[in-house]
Amino acid sequence: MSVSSLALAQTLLNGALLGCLFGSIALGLSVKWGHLGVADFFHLSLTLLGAYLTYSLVTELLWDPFLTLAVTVPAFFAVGVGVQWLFHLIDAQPFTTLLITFALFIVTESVVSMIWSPDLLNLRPLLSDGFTTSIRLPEPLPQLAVQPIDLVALVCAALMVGLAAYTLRSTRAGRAVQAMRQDAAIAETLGVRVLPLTLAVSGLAAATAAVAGMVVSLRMPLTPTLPLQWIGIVVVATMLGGLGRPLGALVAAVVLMMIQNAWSLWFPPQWAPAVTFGVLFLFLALQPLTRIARERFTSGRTA
Amino acid sequence: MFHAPRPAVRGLALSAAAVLLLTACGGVVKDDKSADDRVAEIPDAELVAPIAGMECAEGAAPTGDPIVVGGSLSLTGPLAPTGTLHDAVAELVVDWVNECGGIDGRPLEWKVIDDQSTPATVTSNYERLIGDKVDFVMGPYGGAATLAGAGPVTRAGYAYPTATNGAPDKLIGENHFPAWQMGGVDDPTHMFDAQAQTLLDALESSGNPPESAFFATAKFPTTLSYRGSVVTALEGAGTTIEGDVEYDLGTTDFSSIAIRIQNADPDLVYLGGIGADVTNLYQAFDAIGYEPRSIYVSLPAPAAVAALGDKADGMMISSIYEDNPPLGDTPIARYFTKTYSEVAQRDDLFPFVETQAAASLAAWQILLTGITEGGVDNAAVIAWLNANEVDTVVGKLSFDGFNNYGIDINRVAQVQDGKRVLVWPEDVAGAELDYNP
Repeated sequence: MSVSSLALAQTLLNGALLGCLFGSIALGLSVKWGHLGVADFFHLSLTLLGAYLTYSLVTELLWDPFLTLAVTVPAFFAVGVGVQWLFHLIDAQPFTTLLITFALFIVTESVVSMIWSPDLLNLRPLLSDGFTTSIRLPEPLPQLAVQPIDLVALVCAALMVGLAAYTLRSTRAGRAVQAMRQDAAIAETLGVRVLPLTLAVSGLAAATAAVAGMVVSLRMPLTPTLPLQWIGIVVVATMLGGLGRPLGALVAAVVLMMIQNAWSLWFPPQWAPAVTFGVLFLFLALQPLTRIARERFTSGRTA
Repeated sequence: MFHAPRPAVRGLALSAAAVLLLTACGGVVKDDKSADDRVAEIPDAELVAPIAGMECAEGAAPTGDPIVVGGSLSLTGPLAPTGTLHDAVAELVVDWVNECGGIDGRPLEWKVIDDQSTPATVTSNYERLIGDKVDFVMGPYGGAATLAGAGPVTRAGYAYPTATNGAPDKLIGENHFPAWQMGGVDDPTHMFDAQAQTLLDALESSGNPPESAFFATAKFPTTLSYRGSVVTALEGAGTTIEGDVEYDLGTTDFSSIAIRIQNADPDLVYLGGIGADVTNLYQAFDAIGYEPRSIYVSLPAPAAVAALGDKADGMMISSIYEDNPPLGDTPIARYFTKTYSEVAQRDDLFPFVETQAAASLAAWQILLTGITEGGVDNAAVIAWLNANEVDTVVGKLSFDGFNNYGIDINRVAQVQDGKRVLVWPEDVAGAELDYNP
């Protein structure tokens, strides 16, 4: 490989792996937005809380980062259930849920600042070399390297997105969720227990934030304002991937990060975030054209 | 009957196995020398007055109406890591003065309002403080906030001491008393030239100045202005600029920039970064297995540098103060170092004194000296400070250049054996620069 193609391959690889982390964060948002109609910005805050809790458990109690999931996953499941129960109690409309979750998003930043201080926290110095030393890829690509932490992100994303996609597509509960999404009233008439199902979906979505938060704490220094840096890529990936489609959100996040990184390799990096939103703009702008083309193609075939 | 698992199930099982494998080779290790240990090593220090020429009447409780100093600081929002540091220093100084019997027997009081890292809020905060008739004000953190507060403070005739004003070229007036002095020039377009020259002098003092350099700079007014001056200075000295990129503030993924740097493999990497940029850049270096020949970082968060551990050894950093002789070896500096470490540790802040904490103390020393000499009268304080020099923890300061910047006190620090030490200029250096890219 020449230097430039090697550089491109490495930067695309890095982008893809970081995209896995953002895809993990987008998973919960996509599921709740798509299937429950809740554009849950608080999900980003839960991810941050998951990261800080992991940090505290590792630094204070010297727990293995993976062991922290035994505490954070059930706790976050309960939080997700609680938030959805609140929406049920007040019979919240989508716009109300948006406002509430956005308010929680803002409040969480201040709460995190108060509990953990606004200063930078970094788990990396406490991690063993096995976590921080990059690994060379096997032949035929020995020039390329990956960080073990990024492999953790890849595995967690594959596990969570794979499970979510499989459950939604191939299980009875998943089909019930899809039915509820199409028409909750009819689904209930046909025997779907809507309330327990929405609570479970919300809880599981929140539980994914605990896992994503654990990866975040291993991957980057923590500051209370981190969700503001993720929000663009996560929301765009959620929308591009199709609301309620876990695999779509993951693929979109991976592709977006690869595009951003490839852009930054040759062009001014400060424009990289604009590229993300440019892709979203193009996607939305081309929707009508795509629909017209599809309709013409369909009518041409049936004529 | 046995059925072969479906591909999706097989994939999940493989993924789970991979997680278990990673868990097995991962784990947590404890630092062999934690920050707590290093804080405990800071020697005790005797209580002395916080400014030269002031008597410390230990045990004499101040009485009467307090002298109230008001300030707006970013206690929440993106600037909070540094804003809370300045708040911690303010509380420390107020306790310190009151332990010494107050100012002319009157207690000192600190009244702070959170500006949420929003310049517009800074303006209304100072209007509110002035409306509440505070006796004096202390400037906020950051260039934009400083400019936002300057209007109401100047109109009301208050002295305006600032710790770290990142917009030195924007004129405030004769009431502006900056602790982090840069420039020392009459031309505001050259405010960062002296700082750039200091870096160049430091590099040349090693006998191995860089032949090539790569610049990566955050889109932040201070870092961009400084970068411009350093590029000019290095090019003038014959250094080839191999690359020069800007990135958005808050960028966490530096992989493309790291690869660009790796391809250029320059003698010097100049990171015009703030906050955690240096951590994220090194993480990107780690991912591709690259080690820079040498690196200079303009405004890193102290915790970010400390967290790099051994990797930070040899890193050069812009600084105005590090805890080393001669600046760090005065009774005031020793007492400040000890008490600050305790306060910062209590508040979960970086527990060692460096640029921000030292500049914060220096701003308070400017104000306290002005009050001691001019009395509780802003006009008298402004007149006295404009006519005299002030001894501070970062050196002797005067206020007679453009925007009241008297001299340039920017210095170069280097991480040596895990500790930050000033290495240039020679009169404040605690060690020689170790530079051989």
